[in-house]
Amino acid sequence: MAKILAVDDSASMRGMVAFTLRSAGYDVSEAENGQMALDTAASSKFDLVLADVNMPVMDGISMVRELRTRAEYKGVPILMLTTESNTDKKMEGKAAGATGWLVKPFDPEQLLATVKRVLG
Amino acid sequence: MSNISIAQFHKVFFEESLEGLDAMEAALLALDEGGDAELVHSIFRAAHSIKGGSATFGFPDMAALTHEAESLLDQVRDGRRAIDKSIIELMLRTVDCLRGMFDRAQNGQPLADADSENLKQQLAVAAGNNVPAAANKAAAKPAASSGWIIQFRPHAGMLAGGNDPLRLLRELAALGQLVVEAQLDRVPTLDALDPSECHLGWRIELTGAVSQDAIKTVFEWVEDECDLTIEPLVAVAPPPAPAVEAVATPAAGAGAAAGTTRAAASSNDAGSVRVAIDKIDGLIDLVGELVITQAMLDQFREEFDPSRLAMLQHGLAQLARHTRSLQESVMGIRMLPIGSVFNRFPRLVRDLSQKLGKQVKLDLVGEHTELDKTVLEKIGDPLVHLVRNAIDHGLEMPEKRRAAGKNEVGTLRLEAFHRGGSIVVEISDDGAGLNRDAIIAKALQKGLIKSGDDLSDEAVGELIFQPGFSTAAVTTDLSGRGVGMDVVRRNVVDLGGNVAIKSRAGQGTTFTITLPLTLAIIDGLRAAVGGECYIVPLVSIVESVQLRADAVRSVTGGGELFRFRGEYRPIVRLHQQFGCANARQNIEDGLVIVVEADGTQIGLFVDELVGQQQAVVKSLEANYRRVDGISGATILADGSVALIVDVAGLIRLQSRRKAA
Repeated sequence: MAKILAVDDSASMRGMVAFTLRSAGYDVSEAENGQMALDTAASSKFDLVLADVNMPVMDGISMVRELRTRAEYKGVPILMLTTESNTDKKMEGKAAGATGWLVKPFDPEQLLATVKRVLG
Repeated sequence: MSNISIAQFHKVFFEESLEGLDAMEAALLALDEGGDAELVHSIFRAAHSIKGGSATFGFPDMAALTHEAESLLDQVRDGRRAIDKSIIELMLRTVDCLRGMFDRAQNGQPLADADSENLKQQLAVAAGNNVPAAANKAAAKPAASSGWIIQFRPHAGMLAGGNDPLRLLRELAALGQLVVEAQLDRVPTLDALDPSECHLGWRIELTGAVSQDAIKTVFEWVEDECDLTIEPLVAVAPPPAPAVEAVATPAAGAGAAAGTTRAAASSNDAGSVRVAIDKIDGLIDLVGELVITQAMLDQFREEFDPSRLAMLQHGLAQLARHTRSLQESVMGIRMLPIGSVFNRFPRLVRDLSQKLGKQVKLDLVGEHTELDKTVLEKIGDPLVHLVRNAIDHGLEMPEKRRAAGKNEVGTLRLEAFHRGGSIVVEISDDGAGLNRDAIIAKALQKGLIKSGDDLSDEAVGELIFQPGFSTAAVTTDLSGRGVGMDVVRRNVVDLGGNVAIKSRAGQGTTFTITLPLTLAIIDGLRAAVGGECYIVPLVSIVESVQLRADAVRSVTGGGELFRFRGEYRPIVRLHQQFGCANARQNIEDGLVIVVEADGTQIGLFVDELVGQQQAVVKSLEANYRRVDGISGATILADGSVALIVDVAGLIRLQSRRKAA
């Protein structure tokens, strides 16, 4: 099953995402911020990365930018988990190399639908 | 997937949000004193997380309030607006309001109230978006058509961004009937072909009752990474919207923040303790050592050769050392930094001083000093009382301070540190000090002292700890909550500690709270009474003396007194108190342990002292019932039970007996 990396500094949000995806059979790893995500992504290759935008230590946008410089993450879908007010952030995320976004709040069904859409 | 219940994440969400609110409050207060931009970022992050979480986890009222707070903070963060007192005030109120909402959420009550609605409005006004943001939604009316012609030509780099054109085509196919025609005109020759780039384009005919919005949604993520036109099959609808909008917003950089590394919140119900990883690692190391020592000692079980006695002794010494370290480390798990209690004071001091028109600078020292969790939980209220008192009664108004030649800004200092086996917390102010005359007058009126008594400053200070004693002419709504200094002292004494006061007229007052490091283990003296054993806490022991029969006076009513350091003290015979048989009756055959609590000394008559030891306190109430004069029980090395004497309780019993 596809491997997914969930990145969010909020334990509840991360928990919800991970739990939902695991329930659907995906292999999910978690990271608390962009830096930890980069470390995790270096030791294991993921098929999809879901990342919050606002995080301490390293935010999601810097994380995407960094991830895209790595050859093995060119073309790998990376979705930003963002809030609707942050239209700027969506574009900033895109410019950094994000594939798309999932607008918060989302419920488990919406999350799964989007993930299935991306992973095919 | 509707079997996934979102409610299971509520607890973690509440915990992390309340932590976020604490951090937000601390950052706001720091900002109030002129902090840097990073503080604004961390405040924004906290609000943002709560907003996202509350919307996700089904708390729309909370999400609506934090949304307004966030947009105001966003303006500050982007530099569109300078932070000022009014914004800080508004944000602090938001923190309070959200705390209330979380409280109600945890109890399953409705979240919004008049207060939160009002606040939401104020935040919206402050952010300048008073108008409900629904207006711009009504813009482009989607034109339905029986079909569409879509020209889709990805830019070369689209694949690298993780968007696969095949996925998009699949999604379009789900909307209706597709006729797709690939455009190969830009495919380079093989030697120039970069397989990671996209060179194809497509002309797509989509037939079916599909709205333009539905198509746009499919291309939502790539609209800036392709050339896209969407036209109706039959040209009647409005002209197509320009597909590509150049948007570039290089906003504030990464801003790698130091600070809050948040451990995943534990979701353990019965009160939980967060333990630093290094403490746990230390424990694991110790257990490792213990296992090695045990293995070494185990050799002796097989064969014991007297020539190896030295090795056995060495092993036992090591075992003793490791056991002691292990005990300390395990106790350390219950120890938490006092900072978590100190943290509430910046806000309290700010609010109080503003309300009273006083200027107060708060110094917090020794926040990392660790206290037992139970002590920590119970020390908050007494500290709050002392801090309120200091601001309300201790520190003067700015004019008065100026007139007295002092800095207009009063200083309130909270300091925690280790002293011996205790933790000391000092609350000191540089205010006016105790009003000696007012206290003496009040004490005379209450009959606590006689006129003509010559009282030292200490003795005057002690007076304010008397029940019902209050010198404040007008009971202010701050300190005068019917809780006096006597309650403060009782709370501290209940924790096995004490409060002392030192005051100098015109220079300030210092309250010194002494607390035991832990409640779970006490150092005690083991005393034999009849065939039983009692533990007397070492902290309350002044001295032990052997009395001659003629040093004891019997008084009417059956009591006994003995003379100690020039004063008569009552004797409590433990065997009478606790009904022990076969105890020594003659005062000359036993020992009197002089103990002190609450500034009163009494003598405890016991058969003999057995030795000093550490006692792990077990609750008597939990295992049996409450017994006057006993604070708990412990298990001795031989497995028998010894009771721990409650010195303060015995003194209270004694004075009650005297009064009766």
